[in-house]
Amino acid sequence: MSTLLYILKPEDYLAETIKILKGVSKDYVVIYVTTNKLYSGLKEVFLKNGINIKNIFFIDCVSKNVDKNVKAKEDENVVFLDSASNLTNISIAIIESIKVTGNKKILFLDSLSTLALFNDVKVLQKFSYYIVNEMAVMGCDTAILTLESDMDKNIVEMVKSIVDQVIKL
Amino acid sequence: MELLMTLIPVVLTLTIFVIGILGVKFALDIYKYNRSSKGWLSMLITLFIVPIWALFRIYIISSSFVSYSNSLAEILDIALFPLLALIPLVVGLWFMKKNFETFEITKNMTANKISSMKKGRR
Repeated sequence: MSTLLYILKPEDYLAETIKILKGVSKDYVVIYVTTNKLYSGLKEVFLKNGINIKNIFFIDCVSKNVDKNVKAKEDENVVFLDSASNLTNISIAIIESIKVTGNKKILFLDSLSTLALFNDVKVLQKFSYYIVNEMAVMGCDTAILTLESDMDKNIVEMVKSIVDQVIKL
Repeated sequence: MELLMTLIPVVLTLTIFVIGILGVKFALDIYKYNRSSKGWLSMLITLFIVPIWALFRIYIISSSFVSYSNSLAEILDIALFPLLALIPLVVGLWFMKKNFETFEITKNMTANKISSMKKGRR
């Protein structure tokens, strides 16, 4: 099992995310935690770029901020959470989705930079530490995305020390 | 013996204050770690009222000007202070309960959705 930290330039963020996902979504079930883009927007972009979204389970922490009554349709692989500041809820959704998923799975955490806007640094550090280790125990690969501009922040420095590899794109 | 009887309430009241301050810190930490709804913070009101109640009790016990039986002091001591302390405590616990309920809802919702996804992929 491996944990990767992707450091992306803001202007290339979406393009690089699509490139990474295109690669993994063929062979892996992807648990995609989105904290900065709506599920509806991501679904459209991914479909346009030929990504198989049947292999992606979305944990959307954004849409409920826009529409409190948003609900997933029966055929949509998504759960809508209240906000990116409720890390306990996010952890529960991640663990529950990984538990039921088969062998080849990967957690996509998009992104550490946005989570840092909504959460205290120390709390986010504990969350990151917990998730990285829990995913390793559960046999799940992890890809964490963050912005290049956040590279020197405490939280990114801490995550760099617990991941297997840091990839700067 | 008289000195002891004077000192005991003072020491206990100071203890109440210290425990109250600890309680405030723990309540704030719980809120910070869990992002519990702000309603949880109403418990802090209880933690302020209990030491004030303790001070009030010391005052009425030590004061020769206050007649306790069948008086406002008695009502405050027996009923009003406990009520003022209990209400925010229960309100805070209610908000915490609602928060934990959402965790259960998230867990069940995610489990159902991911199971449907697995069936759909076959």
